[in-house]
Amino acid sequence: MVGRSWVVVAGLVLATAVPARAQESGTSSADTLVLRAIDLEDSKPRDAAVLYRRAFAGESMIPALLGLERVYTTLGMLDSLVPLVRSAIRTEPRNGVIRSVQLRTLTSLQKDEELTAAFRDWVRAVPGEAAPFKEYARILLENNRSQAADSVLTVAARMVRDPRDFSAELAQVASAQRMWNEAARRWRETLTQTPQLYQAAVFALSQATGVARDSVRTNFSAEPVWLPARRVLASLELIWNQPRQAWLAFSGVRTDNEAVTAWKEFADEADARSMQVASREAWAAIYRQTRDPQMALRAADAALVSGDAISALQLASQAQGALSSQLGLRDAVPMRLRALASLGRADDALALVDSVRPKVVAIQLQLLERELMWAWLRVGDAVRARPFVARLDEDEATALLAIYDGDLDKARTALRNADASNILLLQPRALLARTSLPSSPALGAAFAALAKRDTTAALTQLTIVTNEVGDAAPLVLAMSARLLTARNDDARAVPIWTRIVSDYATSPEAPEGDLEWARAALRARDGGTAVARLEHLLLTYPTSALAPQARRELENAKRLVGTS
Amino acid sequence: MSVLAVDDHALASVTMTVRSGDVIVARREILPGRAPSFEGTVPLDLDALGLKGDDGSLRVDVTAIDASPWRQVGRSRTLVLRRAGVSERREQARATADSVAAGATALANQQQQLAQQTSDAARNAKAGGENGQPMTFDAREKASQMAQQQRALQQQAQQLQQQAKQLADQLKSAGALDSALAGKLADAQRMMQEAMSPQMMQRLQQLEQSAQRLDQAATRQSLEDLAKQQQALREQLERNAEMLKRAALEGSMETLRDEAQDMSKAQQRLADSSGSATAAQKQAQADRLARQNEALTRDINDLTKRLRESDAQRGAQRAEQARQNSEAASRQMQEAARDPQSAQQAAQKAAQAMQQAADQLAKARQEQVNDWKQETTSELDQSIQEMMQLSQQERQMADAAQKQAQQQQQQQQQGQKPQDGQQSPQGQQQGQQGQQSAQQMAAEQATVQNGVQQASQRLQEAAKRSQHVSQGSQRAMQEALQRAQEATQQAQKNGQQGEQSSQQSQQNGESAANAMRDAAAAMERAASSLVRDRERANRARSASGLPEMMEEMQQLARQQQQVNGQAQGMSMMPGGEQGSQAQQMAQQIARKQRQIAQRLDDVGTSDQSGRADALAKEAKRLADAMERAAGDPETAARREQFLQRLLDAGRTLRREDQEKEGPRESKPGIGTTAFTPPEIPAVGAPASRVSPPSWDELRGLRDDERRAVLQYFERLNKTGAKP
Repeated sequence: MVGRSWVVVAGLVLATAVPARAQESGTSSADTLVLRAIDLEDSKPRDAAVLYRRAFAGESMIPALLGLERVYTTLGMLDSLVPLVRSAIRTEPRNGVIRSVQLRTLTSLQKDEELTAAFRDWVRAVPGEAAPFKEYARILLENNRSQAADSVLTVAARMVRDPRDFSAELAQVASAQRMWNEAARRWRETLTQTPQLYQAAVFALSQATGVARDSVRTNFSAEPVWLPARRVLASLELIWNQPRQAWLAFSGVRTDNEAVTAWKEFADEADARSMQVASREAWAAIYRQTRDPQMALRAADAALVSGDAISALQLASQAQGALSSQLGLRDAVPMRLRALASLGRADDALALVDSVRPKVVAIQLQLLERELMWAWLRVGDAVRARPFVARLDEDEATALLAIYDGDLDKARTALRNADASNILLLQPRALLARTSLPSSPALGAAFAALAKRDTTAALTQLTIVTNEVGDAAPLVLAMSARLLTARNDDARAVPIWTRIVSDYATSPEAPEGDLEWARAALRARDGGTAVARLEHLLLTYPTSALAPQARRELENAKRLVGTS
Repeated sequence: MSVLAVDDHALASVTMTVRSGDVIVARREILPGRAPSFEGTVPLDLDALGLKGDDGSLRVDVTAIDASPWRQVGRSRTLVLRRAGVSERREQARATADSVAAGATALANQQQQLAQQTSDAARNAKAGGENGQPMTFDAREKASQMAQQQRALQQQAQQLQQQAKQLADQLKSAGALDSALAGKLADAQRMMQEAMSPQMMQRLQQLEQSAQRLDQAATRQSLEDLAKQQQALREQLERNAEMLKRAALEGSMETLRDEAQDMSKAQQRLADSSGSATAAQKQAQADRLARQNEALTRDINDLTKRLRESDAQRGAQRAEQARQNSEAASRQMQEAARDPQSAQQAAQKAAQAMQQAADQLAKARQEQVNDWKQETTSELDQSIQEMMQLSQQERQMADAAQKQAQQQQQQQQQGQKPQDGQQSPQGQQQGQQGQQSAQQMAAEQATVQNGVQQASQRLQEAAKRSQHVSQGSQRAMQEALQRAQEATQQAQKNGQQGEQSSQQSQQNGESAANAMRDAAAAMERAASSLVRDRERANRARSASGLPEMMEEMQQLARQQQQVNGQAQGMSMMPGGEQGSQAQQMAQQIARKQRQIAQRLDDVGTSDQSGRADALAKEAKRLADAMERAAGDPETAARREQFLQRLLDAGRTLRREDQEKEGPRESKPGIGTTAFTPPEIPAVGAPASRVSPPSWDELRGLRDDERRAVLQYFERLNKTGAKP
């Protein structure tokens, strides 16, 4: 926050300072010309070009030359720059900016021979300096001529005073040539001298694929443990979609302020990439190290998004304890409420809202009530959720309430706009997609009972709707059987699994029916039935995702048959 | 009509003659004046020349007279021009469709072989590299050859793309291109276009460069990269081949139905033609219709066989019924041709049977398309259920792993492990039990991972056959698989407890539990994405999915409106936009913005215009910006602008669908020199500035010398150069 304000202020100062200084010191006419030309660059590039030409003849040769490079590129007149650059070089033969403009211009104009000649001329003008080689190698790399760049740098290493000057360029060349082991080694070496090239290293190495990534990992996790190297590795793992490995990249680093700064950057990066697993670990570690309640809240948020509501609640409670009552109310209470709602602790959520109700303004209360609404919906309390749903008008909440009410058509309509990632809606959606039933109070009651964890009521309602739902009947049966299996009630579950296998043999639930029937038989020490069911599964549904489990269970079943 | 005439005495005239039978319907002088040669294209208006129907033909020839005193005449061979009738156009469309589908299948097979060869080469290169051997000349040649073969395949894909476009045009001209078929063909063209990706070109270039340098390591890496690209390309080509195959079958069912309908009408006309034609005319017509009917029966029979071979049983059954009806009609027509007395009655019966055949073919297409759709929805249902079951198991295992880790912690706290590091017998027994149970869990976790892999492979297969399996779902499945693999690794680490300290094993147990929870969450996300595909497939009224896409855009625009409204309300929060509560809300809003991006990503998979993809990218950028500064005026402006673009996209997609011509592309001007013969004799300045020498002036020269002189003058007149 503070940083952002400073940037804005600094920007304003800079914007106003330049013309002011010009006025105070009686700016030279060439400077004024350049300033006017900059203003005109976008809207009237031709006029800007005229002004730059005039400035070029005066004291502002270099800014004018750079301006002309931009404007001529826009106008497609870059060839007009060549004589001007030549004349500028005659005036200042050792000036690196002018030489760079020349190389860029000749590259854009695809004048290869002149480009090589210009580079050689520059080398002669500044013997022993690295700049010409660096610039030329960079241009060659940009043009996918990595081999040529490599040759230039090899020659350069013999000709310049300090060959280490080229470590970044050599790392770039190795990356461009996809020699990943070499590239990783060189980048690590480069970072020791110029740590600000961190982003360049990450970008270049992120292109590594397959086994080449292991070379990069080995180089960057090698002893001695060095934080910048681990930071690069962590970023790379995020890019390679390995969030857990990304956080583990920091293993072994010394936990000091520098490490905390690196973790914060990493956590922000993980948040930006929606990799909550990594973000959760990082924010939690930062909190453990700093005990800063704001960090605890960030950790709680990441934990909640990654589905770990228990940790989120603990962290938010700890944060509230460490914050002032006002900040705790503003920042920690909503987080605690979200965690309570996710855990389905609706009564606790209500108690929390009631405890802060007199202290919050209307819009804050609305946010808190939203969480409360989800808490009620999560526990299947349609009556208490209803007023909030009506008031807040959220598609997912409307859909879930309509499902509890048994108004399936209304639910379908609301689901079309609903957030698909809401896991609460997953099972109802899967069922609704398979039936065209417009309404079913019994089905609604079944889902509400499931949310209340009232399995007995849920089973009763599911039995009622089995014959109503058409193609979704095996799914409804499977829901009942799963409930009974979870209650260890195999005596009632097995007939349902049997029915699924026999009456709905082509349904998606049939393989599960076979597997669960076999598991029940194994629990009852009936190896024969288990073997028969598992063999049936493997022969009838060989491509089922449950087949690998069936194979494993089959071994157990055969062992059981053998021992008996 | 392209004409080229040349003579070593120069040309005095070039005349094109068009005849219908023996009657000259047009004669046109196409040489503007005396010239050494003539080369040009002469347009012929077939309508104006009276060539309309299925049966008519025109004969065209060109006569050239040289400029010698003998006026020697040269005549071209006669070309017979026929205009394809509707029936022929349908047949052409069917043939092209079959050829395109076969070409696509062959291409996919070739790509598969090449991908295999590249993989093998990468492995060999790796083995060579590990043994420290330098790259051999043979290896370099092989790598270069692979790159060349891949380029050749890319070219084939390009040709196939052109053929798919040609097929769409032919179906259109045969009146058999409906929106469903058009969508499929457009998809196939898009996929071919994507197959020739810049990444593939880049990989090829890298391979060639590294092989040129004889760089073993870089070549191996390039080969591996290329193999990956090839794998992706192969999958796409296979999907494309399947889609084209189905489009070809659909096209055949459609065109044959039209044929049958036209045939039925013709037979009905014959049945109704009581007094208007003579008996001989009727018999001739019956005879012709009987022959056409037989050909149609053969075509329907071929279609039935192809449907069976493609495992399109529903369509095959209906087509078989259509074949039987067509055969019955054929018999009736033969009867009509044989016996003029009963011709009308027989033609009547044939017309009825043929109409039934047409109806059966229409049903064949409809039912087969529904069957294909149901195949996809069944696959989606199965994958949804499996993902839900596996995620449930994953969660149970996570709880078990957590419990185990807690037990270990308790044991540690209770001091069952003495300070000297030696465990008590009871502690040892518990440790062994714990290790066993962890190992069992690792094995169980491995079966779950294999299950996800199996489901993922099946889904990829299904995606080849249907566009209702979105890219988003495939990505989500891959993500779930990756997380399951991580969970397996952690579980295996946890199972190696013998080598770990008590604290380490507790940490490993917790890590395994966390990894399993993450895997379960990823599976649930995959299931959610699949459910969305299932809902979309349910709603889909068309095979192209375009109306649904527009609807989705409109819904997304509504959602964007809500997001914009919520973001505006943030300034009213306590502490303003920078308050913690506002920041929490900003996170929520940004998440919604990401969801919009996600849905746009899904839409992008079936939007050929690329607009949805561009919008998805902007939505992601916007979500990032909103997380940083949701209330920022610049972000607010971008949001509004984005909403406008979404609204526009929802309105204008239809227009793009209706325009089936695809993007306009420039073509080289080779072979397109058009010459329009002058209607009125030209008056004014002579066309040739320098008159070519007369025959008398050339008579003393040899053939080749005369030709050279004439060409010299011709060039002078063309370029305006001075002699």
